[in-house]
Amino acid sequence: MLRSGAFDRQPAERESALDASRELERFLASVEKRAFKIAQIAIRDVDDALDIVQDAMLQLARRYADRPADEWRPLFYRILENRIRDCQRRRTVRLRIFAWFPGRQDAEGEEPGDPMDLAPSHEPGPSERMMMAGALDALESAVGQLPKRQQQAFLLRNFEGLDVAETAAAMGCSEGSVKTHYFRAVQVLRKALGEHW
Amino acid sequence: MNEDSDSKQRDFENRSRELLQAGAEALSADVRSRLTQARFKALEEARRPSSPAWVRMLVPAGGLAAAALVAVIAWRGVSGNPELPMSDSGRGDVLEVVAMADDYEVLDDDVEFYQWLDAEPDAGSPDATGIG
Repeated sequence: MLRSGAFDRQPAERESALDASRELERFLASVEKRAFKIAQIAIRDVDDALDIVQDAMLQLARRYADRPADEWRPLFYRILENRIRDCQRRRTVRLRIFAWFPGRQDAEGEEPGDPMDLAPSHEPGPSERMMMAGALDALESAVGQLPKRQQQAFLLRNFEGLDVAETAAAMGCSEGSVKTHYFRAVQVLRKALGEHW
Repeated sequence: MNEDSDSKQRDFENRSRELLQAGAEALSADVRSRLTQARFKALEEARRPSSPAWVRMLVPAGGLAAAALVAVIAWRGVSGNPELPMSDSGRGDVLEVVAMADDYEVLDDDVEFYQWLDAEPDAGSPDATGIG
């Protein structure tokens, strides 16, 4: 669809390729902010979250741009979740390695610290700061502490709005598992946030 | 699950969705700019014509060929070449001749001495030199 060189084609085909390109752009623009928030809540680092979203976009464009547009969302979130998991694994390995050398510094010359120190470093604007100080802050923190599968199910179902089948495709599990993870996530969050809400 | 509980759950889901959405819309200008750049990069990638399948296969095939070549060279290096000792031997002969060159020079320089020594039958004896 988008792949072949646009200038080698007939006008009708070129127009079709442009339409497909615009459609992909619309899709990416529609998901990028939520995808970033999902990655940020899971990873707690702005730069890593941006890298993950960019990687997922590139991968989708490179490998799945030819697929029907209605398949893009579950595919994109599947890639995103895989990248998040890879990043978490790399961090776990890094932390384990540095745990062997307590006095050693990491590659950037900084002491390896508490993973909580990897929290977002960007300065929020006034409106964001107001929200972050209140309910949103509490919600993001609580979602960030959910078990990974519950967190995925909650963010994909509730925040991204995927249906059960799409969430199952994105998470690589059965629809029954999605329902279970989502139900438990909501119960845990309601219990954790009860006083704030 | 009763109606009240269902309603509370729905309220919770709606509120959390609205909050998360508001958080996504309140991203900093820097983050939004970087997301836009990432999107453009992905679109550029999608527009790029893909290589034919046989070209894409050349990369792994080339890698395999290079790895096989390295393996063969390494194996030959470890197992050794039977011709090399002969070559070393030849090089040893040359070195021996070079090392003996000084001796030949000594012989050339001392021909007169050896002729004299030959003409004097007792020159090498202790009595002739007077050294006891």
